[in-house]
Amino acid sequence: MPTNAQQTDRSVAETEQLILQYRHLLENIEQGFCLIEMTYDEAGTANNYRFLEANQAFERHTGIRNAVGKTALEAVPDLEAHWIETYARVARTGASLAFEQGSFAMNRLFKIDAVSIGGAGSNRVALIFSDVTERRRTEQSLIKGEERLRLALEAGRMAVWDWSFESGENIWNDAMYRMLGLQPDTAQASFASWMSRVHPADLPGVESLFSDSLKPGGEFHMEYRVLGQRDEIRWVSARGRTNSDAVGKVTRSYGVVTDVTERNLIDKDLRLSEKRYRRLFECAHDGVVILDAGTRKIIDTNPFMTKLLGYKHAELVGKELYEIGLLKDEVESKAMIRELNNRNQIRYEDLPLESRTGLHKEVEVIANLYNEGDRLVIQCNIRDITERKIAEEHVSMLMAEINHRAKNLLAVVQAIANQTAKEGSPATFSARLSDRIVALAAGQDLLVRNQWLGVELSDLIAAQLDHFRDWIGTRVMLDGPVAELTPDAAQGIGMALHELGTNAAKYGALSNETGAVLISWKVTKGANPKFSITWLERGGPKVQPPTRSGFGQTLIGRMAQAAVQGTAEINFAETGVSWNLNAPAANVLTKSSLGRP
Amino acid sequence: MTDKPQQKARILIIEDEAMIAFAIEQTLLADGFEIAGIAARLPAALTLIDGCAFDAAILDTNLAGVSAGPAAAALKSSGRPFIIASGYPPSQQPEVFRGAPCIQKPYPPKRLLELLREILPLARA
Repeated sequence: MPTNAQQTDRSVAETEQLILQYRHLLENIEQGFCLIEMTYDEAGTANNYRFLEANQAFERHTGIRNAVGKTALEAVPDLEAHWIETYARVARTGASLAFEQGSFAMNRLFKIDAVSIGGAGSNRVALIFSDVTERRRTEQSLIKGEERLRLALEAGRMAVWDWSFESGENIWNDAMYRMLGLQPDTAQASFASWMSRVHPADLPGVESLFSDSLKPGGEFHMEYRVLGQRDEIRWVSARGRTNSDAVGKVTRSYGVVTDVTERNLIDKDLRLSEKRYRRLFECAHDGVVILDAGTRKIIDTNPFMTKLLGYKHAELVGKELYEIGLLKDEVESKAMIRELNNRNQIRYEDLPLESRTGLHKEVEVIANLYNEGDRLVIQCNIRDITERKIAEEHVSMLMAEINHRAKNLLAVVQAIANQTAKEGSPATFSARLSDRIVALAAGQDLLVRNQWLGVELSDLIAAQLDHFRDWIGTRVMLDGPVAELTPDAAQGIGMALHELGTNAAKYGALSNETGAVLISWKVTKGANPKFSITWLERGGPKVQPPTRSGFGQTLIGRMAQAAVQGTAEINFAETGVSWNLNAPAANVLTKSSLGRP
Repeated sequence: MTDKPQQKARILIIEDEAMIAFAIEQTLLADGFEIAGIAARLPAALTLIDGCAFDAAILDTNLAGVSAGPAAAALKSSGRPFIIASGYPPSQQPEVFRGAPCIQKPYPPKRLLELLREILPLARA
């Protein structure tokens, strides 16, 4: 501190010069400067202050214009009382004060140096200050930004590395350690420990891509597998950059790594699902049409639909259903949409459909309405039931045919019953009728087994002479070629053989211990082949010609003739009964049997 | 059965099933009708319709797998009445058989005789 004596020694001019210099300095500094003088009330309490001086920057920092001469409360009417109290304390105590303080009234934050002028008990204070509102705001937002980044990294489970080649320092965040299945407090953040956790199969690729990125402007992006916590294999996506200095020397590599295992799984599931349903759509043997419910126009169709209709995919897309011949007209099309809105699903059976070439198809349509993202779509499954319809008609025809045959057969049974009733006594009626019905049924059995196409003659004989099956080959001899009889011929010849057998067992060659029957048949060759079959009995008791012609005779004679449009002869020679039936082979044999060499 | 104007009526039987034709024949003969002929196939039926003297016919709709429709048409144009005797119910029969009285197999022989008496006077009127 200069003494009073020294001060008086200095020239007034020098002092003034010095003051001017300081004043100039204060006038031009960046900070705001002002000199204030406290004012007090009667009780000696500070109640205001007046600006005695202010520099150029003052207005910029405070927003107060022409402050000099004004009191603080004139400049800022609702100025907080603490300002006055603080400066009064500085003035009273003479102790300087540096502080930061905000003013709501001024909406600013100040960093202030308050210096007492004149020592304790003076009423003047110099203020050097800055408006730090903006700076604080920036700092604040920087802190917030950093916080946000940290949160984002954590939320995205983002791992970060920052490797400086100049210092050799490699910095990882905790997520980076965790992602690699390492502990931050025990493991070393290094390229080697990173690579040690990369899946062996991916290691060469990662190393080579990473070293490729170590050049000016180099970037690194790769998805690969790492061994995570508990050595679990995880997919990660790494994205990094390289910094370099002015001479192109690589100085730093940094970037982020994200765990994409779940995302990849979802993607994989989606891809599989898409593939699976796409295949279903492409390979279905139902037509599938997808419509926009709003425009009623076709968005997509599957290949089967294009096959069904004969239109190309591109020709179908954009059309309405009635334009491709599925619904009659626009009215029906609209009605379908209305109905779908009420019920979500409609099923149309027997909808006629016409293909491009005019081919008529019977289809069954199931339409579903559902939400696809932000639009309503209708999916129509169209099944070609033409074949099914044909099969149904065929079954229905067969049922009618069976009905017809059954009734015809019953009529035949009825005729046989009526005729059987006319011969013999009522006591034997039941047995004789049963025999004849069994004979009729035997032929039916063989026909059914052969799909009603025909009956092999030797099978027919065996069936009709079932009572004597043990004698076939000994007392009943068969001799003839393979011959398949038509259903009508089989019934007529079968019934005749049955009557002949019954008679032979009662009165003829099969009624004693020694007689025999020879059944022989042949088919002549040539343009109009003839069929003939002969029943010849030998070795039986002496034959007595029947006294009257019963129904049995009718069956052997007339019925057999009628069945083959041929001629039947029966001969009651004493040595044995003989029966012979002749007919054009075409009336007896099936077409396949006729064609046989 | 003292007064039967149709006693002498001659009936044509068109039926492919020999047993049934025989039964019909026996039924008709027993009731005093005459048999004009029996046809088991369509060509024979058409020949008989065209060539033999008969007052009425009994017609099966199916002759060995062939529709008897042409025979029905020929009978209609000949102006002589006929009865359809078939295993098929009338509803399943083709249009050509409509109009004639129908009897479904199997039927009581008496019913066939009643039907014949119903159609014969009309034919003679």
